[in-house]
Amino acid sequence: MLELLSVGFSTAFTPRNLIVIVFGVFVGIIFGCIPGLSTNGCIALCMPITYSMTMQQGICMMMGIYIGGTSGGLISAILLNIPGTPAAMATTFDGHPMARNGQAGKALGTGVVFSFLGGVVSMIALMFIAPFLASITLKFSAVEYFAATVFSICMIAGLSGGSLAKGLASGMIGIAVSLVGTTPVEYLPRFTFGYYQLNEGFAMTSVIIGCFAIPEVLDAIKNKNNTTKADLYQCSIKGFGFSPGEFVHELKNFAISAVIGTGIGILPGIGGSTASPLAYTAVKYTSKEPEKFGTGIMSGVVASETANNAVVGGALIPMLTLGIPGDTVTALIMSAMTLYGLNCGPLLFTNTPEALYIILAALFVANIIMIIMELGGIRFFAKLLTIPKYYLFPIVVVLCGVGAYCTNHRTFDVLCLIAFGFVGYVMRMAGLPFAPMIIGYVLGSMIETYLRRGLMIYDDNFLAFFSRPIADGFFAAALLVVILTIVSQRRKLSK
Amino acid sequence: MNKKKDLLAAGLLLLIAIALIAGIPTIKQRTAGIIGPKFMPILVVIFLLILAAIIGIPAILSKGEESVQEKTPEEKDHYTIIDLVFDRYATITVWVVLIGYALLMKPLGFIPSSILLIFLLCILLSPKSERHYVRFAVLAVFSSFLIYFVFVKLFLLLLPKGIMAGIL
Repeated sequence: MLELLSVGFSTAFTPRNLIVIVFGVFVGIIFGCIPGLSTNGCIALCMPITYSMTMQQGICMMMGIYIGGTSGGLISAILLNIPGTPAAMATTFDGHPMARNGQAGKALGTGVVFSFLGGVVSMIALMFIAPFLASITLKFSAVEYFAATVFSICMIAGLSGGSLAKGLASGMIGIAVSLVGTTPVEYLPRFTFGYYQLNEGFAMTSVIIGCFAIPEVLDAIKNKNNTTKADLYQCSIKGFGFSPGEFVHELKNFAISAVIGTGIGILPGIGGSTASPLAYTAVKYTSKEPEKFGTGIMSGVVASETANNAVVGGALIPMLTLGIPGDTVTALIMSAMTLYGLNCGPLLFTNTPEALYIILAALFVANIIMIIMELGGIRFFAKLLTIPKYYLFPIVVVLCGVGAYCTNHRTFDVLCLIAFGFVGYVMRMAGLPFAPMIIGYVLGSMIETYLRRGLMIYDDNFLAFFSRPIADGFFAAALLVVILTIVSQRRKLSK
Repeated sequence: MNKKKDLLAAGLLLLIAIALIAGIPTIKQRTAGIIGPKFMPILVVIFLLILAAIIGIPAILSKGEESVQEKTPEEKDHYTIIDLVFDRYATITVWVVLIGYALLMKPLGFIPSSILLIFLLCILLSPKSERHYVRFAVLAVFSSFLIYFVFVKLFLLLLPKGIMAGIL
């Protein structure tokens, strides 16, 4: 392990890869801190840039964006009271009151430092848990994989939106989109309607960027006359913004939040947006002064920021060991890795074990760059928050066009981008969440392949799938998620 | 429950299901058993129809909330063409602009089509009181050239040159 780890670090520390990580973190922070721009969109936009890169550079860039985007959300959460990413929502609870109380620097320093530490803990977890899990998943057959993908979709559908039916519907739309192209077993064209451009299916960048970016632009157009501006608090950080004594005092809260964040990250579908409020609540109830939470105390920021960054390493575990992405960002990273011939799953650990350690090293280096960049450049990032959306969004739309065009060098993909923008717009109007659609789209061909392979093994007898204990475990967990979601929705309705 | 949203969701699911049903007969089946390339689409259609029913039927049966027609703050009697295109029907205009961008990118080239897109989107996105046409034009020209040169010269990607083929 140590030898591979040193290979990973020597790769991450080469000048070119370092530059790529710095660029990734920088762009990630910008997309993370500006409300309306997302880490998903950033990764999808930057995917074409990675086409001209080596595998190592591509991985370094993705990890840089992931870290930068995840932690960038805290800047607007603290200074504007608007979370840059959904995962930074809980940071507004105490971060913004701290800024209002004249402690913006302390809140930002706390957020940045504990984001870094949360990320490091999750990386250590990734380093030890991933190879162990991979050795177990090596024994999985198509049936277990099918059961695991069903569990993932149920989990994401149940937890990403208000309604289970709408979550499942969104997942099913994603699977329907994935059916277009070549069939996974016979390699025959399907739903191409005579368009040769669809033989490989819809380009991932067109689907994802279209669904995420175009509806944001339309929302901004609808709300353009809503000129109420949030107050932006001025900030400057001396050192880390807090004393060593305060740091030691927060270690208990940090430990609780790091465990919650990493644990939540491993479960598919529930990312930082669930982990940070959960950690916040846990820290609040274990505190001796729970009544102070929400008034602007350091512990609230520690809980939220530690947890949402601890999710990063956790979310990579199912992606790397099972080939099942835990959230939209990891779904995109997995697709980008496929372009380099890196197929996520247990075989990654035997065929290209160095890839895992490059990921680990890149995450670690990206975390260090993130802490330096956010502490040093906080005034610059805060300034970005004052740029009106009508200057930013048109450029983002052009970048979307570049992203879609460069996938296959054809305008057909740009038209698909706009078509999926329309689908995303209708989905938003209909209250259908995006995350299950993206996961359904990414997992669609996998589900079909595993289901059909499994049925081939058991002579088309689906009931035989239930004779395998691990698959039964996944099916039972999926059923439990569905039942719990229905029960919780009924309770909400009866209230 | 939001009746309008649920009906729209059910409608979208039905539309996708119909598109799949229309395409299923065109799929070639090489295997003799039921588990062929048509199997998954049929399964997806069944799930889509069930989910459309689960979401749509209660919405149809419920009385629903009376949709309150929101009045725009300033209803006017007369609109200029700019008002109509960039404000009142901005959501329609934006689709026309986006489709136009995709269609013009190849013949016109990346830079001219992007200049047009950025300029028009700046107008569409900005409130009337904050429209600075010269600034928008400068931003459109500068950012289009910058994006082109960064992607083509730095990242070695290909973007359509169009009418600027002789210059670039």
